[in-house]
Amino acid sequence: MNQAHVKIKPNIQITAFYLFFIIHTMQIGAGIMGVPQIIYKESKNNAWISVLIAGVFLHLTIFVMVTLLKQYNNADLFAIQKDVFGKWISRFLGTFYILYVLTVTSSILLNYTEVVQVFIFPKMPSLQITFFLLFLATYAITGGFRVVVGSAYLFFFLTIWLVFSLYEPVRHVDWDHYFPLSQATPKELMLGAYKTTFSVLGLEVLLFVYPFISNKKKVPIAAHLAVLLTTILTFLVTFISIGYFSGPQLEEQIWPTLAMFKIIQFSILERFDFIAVAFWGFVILPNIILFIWLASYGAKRLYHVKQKHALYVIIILLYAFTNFFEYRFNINTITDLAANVGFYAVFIYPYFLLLIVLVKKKFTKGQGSGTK
Amino acid sequence: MKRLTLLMICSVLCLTSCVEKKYLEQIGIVTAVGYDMLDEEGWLEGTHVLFQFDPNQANVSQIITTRAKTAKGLINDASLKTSKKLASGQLRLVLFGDKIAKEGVMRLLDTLARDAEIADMMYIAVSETTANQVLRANNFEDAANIGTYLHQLIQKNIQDEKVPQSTLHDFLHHYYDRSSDPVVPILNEENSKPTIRNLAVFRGDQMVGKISAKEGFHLKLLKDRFESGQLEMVIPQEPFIDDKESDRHYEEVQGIYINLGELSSDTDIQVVSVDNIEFNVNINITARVLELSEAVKMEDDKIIKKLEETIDKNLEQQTEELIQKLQEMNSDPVGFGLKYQRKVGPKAMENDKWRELYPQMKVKININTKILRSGIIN
Amino acid sequence: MRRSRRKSSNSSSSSSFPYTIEEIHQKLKDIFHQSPDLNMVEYTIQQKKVAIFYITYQINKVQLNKSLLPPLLKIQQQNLDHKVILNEIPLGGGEAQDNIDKIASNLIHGSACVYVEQDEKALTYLIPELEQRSISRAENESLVFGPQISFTESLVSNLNIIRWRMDTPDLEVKKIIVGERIPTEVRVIYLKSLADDENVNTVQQRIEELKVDDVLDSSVLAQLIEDNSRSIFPQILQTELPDRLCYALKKGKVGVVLDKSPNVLIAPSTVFSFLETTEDVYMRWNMGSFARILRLTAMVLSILLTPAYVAALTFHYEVIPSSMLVSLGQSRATVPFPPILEALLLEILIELLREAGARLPTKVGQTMGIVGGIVLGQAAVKAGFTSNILIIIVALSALSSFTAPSYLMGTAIRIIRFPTIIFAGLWGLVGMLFVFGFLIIHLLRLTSIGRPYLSPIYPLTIKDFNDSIIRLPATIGNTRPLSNHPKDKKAYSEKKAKKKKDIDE
Repeated sequence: MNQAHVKIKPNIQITAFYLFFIIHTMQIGAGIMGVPQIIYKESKNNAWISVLIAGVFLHLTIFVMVTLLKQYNNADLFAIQKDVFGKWISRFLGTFYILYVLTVTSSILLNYTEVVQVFIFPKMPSLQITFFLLFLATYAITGGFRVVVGSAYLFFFLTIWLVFSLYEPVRHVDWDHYFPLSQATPKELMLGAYKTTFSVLGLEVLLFVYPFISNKKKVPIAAHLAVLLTTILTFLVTFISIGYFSGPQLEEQIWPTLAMFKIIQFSILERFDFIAVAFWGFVILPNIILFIWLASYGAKRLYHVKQKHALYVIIILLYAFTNFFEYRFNINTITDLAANVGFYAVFIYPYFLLLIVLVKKKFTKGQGSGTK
Repeated sequence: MKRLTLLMICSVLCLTSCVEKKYLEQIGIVTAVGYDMLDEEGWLEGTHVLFQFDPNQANVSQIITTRAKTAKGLINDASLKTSKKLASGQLRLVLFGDKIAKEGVMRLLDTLARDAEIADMMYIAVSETTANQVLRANNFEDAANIGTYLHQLIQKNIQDEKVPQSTLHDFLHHYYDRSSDPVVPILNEENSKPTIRNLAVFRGDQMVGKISAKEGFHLKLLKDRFESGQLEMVIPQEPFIDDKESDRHYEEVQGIYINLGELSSDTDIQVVSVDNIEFNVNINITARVLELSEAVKMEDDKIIKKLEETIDKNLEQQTEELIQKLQEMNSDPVGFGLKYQRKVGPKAMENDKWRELYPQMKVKININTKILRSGIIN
Repeated sequence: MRRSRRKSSNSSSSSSFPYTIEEIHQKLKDIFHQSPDLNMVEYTIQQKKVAIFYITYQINKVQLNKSLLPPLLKIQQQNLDHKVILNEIPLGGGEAQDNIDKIASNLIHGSACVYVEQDEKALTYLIPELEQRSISRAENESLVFGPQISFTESLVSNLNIIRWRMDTPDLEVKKIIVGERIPTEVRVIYLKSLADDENVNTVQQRIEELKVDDVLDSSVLAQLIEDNSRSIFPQILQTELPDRLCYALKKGKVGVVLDKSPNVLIAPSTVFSFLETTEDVYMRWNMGSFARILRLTAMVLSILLTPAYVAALTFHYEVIPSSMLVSLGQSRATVPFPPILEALLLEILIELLREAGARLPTKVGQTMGIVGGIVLGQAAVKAGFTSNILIIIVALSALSSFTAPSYLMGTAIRIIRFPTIIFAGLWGLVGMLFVFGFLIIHLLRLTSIGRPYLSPIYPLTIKDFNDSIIRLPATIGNTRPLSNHPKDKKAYSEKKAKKKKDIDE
């Protein structure tokens, strides 16, 4: 069982402290812009309860992932899959994971492009916006894992203050909107929670960066805290949206989170929403950087190609794909695809894998040949 | 080096096309828009107040009046009448003519609400007569133009707690909310200067009546909380007769005018019975007496208590009258429906159910005023 | 030099000591290519011919005439040879040489050569005359408060100052010679008990591995040993202040002193070390913190302000507050160009003023500043060339960039403004965000001799915030910057610093 072991050079290892930022920035991105509306459609004014349910589920998933990783010494998902399924199936599964990651990335890119076009520049071609983002992502990833982690960490601090700007919408909240408390049926609540998970995908990164972490003992704390912050932010945004908008109004908002910025103004800045939307680029940038890094790193692990080459291919593919899609399909199609696949890949698959690993472990132990 | 050049070429290819530019000096910045319904069937008149910057003209403000059948048509028509490109990102006020307000404003507001350029903090108001008349008023104090003046006028009065919040966001919020209705200020022109006298009460997007700014106080009392409000009222001098200090002939005095300031309030609306649609409203007020038209001995606790009771009774009565008036209009700006919804859930409120229930609503108001010792002198 | 020496050794190997006076004179003349600067004086002492050679401007004439000549001429002993002279003349630094090339090289370095005819060896006395600036006040990194002394171009006096400031045997100095054609002496200095060996080795290795003709100045050396030479940001700090160097050494950094250069290099440096002065340390901690945060904000504002103006006036009229809208619009209405050109024009004007002021002699330079700043600015606004609000903004951002204590950093910041303005003018806020994103990632990628450039922000070491971004009172901050990996992490005992007394004790 201990065969699956990934060696990482000590100079690119990171502490669990940065794992917090990696997981958190990975989760918060394009999804949170529109999540209140999506949940509200399912569980109405009890949408915030759905977020909490989803939060519990997130923690459970993290727990499962950590347990899974603990079965091995220093392995990532690729190594575990190889150990469990053998070379070919694991390669197939790994490729599938990479494809899923790329789909999510293109969905993020397309969503942000649309937001920029709607809020700031109606005539800015998506060619340009995606170019900007992908250029920055390439520049960061070629700097190595240290820069990838650093950008997740720095951009987190550069954008987290946006939370405080929610203070203004809070003052406009109509507290009557939250009642009655037990309005949605359990089924609706669960559906809402299910929909919430779409916008908090990204915690799967833990399965890949685990070998990079030097102090493994603190991994669970960092991961749980990251997920907790994600839950809190999603909860805050959803909760405030419910009070700020009236029900039918919320259902009409595609990006309620951004729409709430519209009432904020300062004496030197009339329209905060413009700044916030542009700044949102910094929210999704670490997202894109991490996802593309993951895909290129995965390609390196699976096919033993140079990560640099894999990166260039991925960037070109993404660039072509996102701009091709703009004219062909509805963005929602690809977003839904990413979300649905993501749910199974992130929230179901680890449980399944853990089960197999545990069974296999018991089996080998029963044979008496297992060392651990 | 080769790679660098390749990258350069790539970026040039990708970045050559530029985005639409809106140079500040080349656009006409609309700060206020007025919509009127013309007598001819289906025709709208739009009044656009805009800033345009011309090096040779000192006056940066301009007003363009246009006619069309749709809101977008009005903008199209307006652009025929000016050399500048009209931009509404700085729009601060939308003013609806009396007629159009009665007919329904949503067809016009909807286009605005969908436009990401439009600020949510823009004010909505209704004109006593036509929007054009108010916007053409030429006395707008020291503001840069009439749009800015009206914006400041409404903003100041909202801050002074004289007018309820009437931004685009609030309007839409209450419009979409099936169980509450918007209220906006009515502007009218007096000596070519726009002022606020009344408030327009909407049912959905239609104006169904108006209440005076004074009644607006009671509306806010029910709906919101005061932090530093003001109130003037007349109370009968009857109970205070003995306490009068002066030796005037009391018979001459009609009543005592009392002016309360630093008024803060706290309202609690409770549903007593869902089936009978009964509400209980408890309002706590604390205030300071700023002015009394007659001298009353304020140091006496008994007198103050009497005064408080009188104010309570007075306010209760006026508030009840207001609710009755609103019920007759079948408009619920207070949001009793929301409180009702708390009990029954939003699904029960669908299909305008509240509109049927609202006129039958019964409200019991209980006001409790507390007067703080006033000023440095008793 | 090495090559020339080799050439001359070939020619002189044919014959060797002893020589006649004429022979040795001829030999030296050949080596110096018949240079007119080689002087020879001949005396006869105790019946023996004695010649003294020197290069006129390389030796100290006073020493020659007072310490060398009189005792030499007064020698009474018979059998005069180099041993007798070495014994008799009361002057240190005398060396007996039997290699004509070595003698020539010593002559260049300021020796006088004494040769008794037909002797086996010649004597050289080192009496050099080094033309050098006297130690003066710092000009480029001026301080209001604190030591004013600055380094000069002389390695000897620089080392002298450093030794004087840090009189501890712990100070280790390593000598390296760089430059293949014109060798220059470099000293790597650090505190043995503090500086991280890896840092010292990296610096030393990079200097040793240099294959260059010559190194003009320490700033050139810095460019040669930097991690990323494509970046606009300087990665190795240069200073002319001895106290700055000593302060850095005491934090466990490594210094590099180059002969012929008044600037000393300090590595590893972070982006924040370019924004701090020793003055922050001399002032009280709260004042120091204020000054540092002020400078940091100034840098951000300097890059942000003009592009923000351009972006707002080109694309985002919505964000302009209504109170400023009219005045901005009116001042813009007369300007014939789009905001991006207007801003670039004014920024270039300021850059020109700065450049002209720097090139011109001081007296003219000052007038330039006034003429350019006031007259041109006024005229530009009057003529409707620029809006007066932009003048304020550009002046403010120029001023901000000048607050950078490091001239290189200030220049970097000013240059970064130009691409930012262009991006803001082409894609508004989105373009600006792109530039900032790029800058942040670029800073993340940079390293200074292998240590992260953005430290202590990334990797986060909260304890290092003291003395980089802010300053804390002595009772709180007792650690040396951990990002330098000092061997001894604590500057002083925390316990003693925190010892508190009760009221009135």
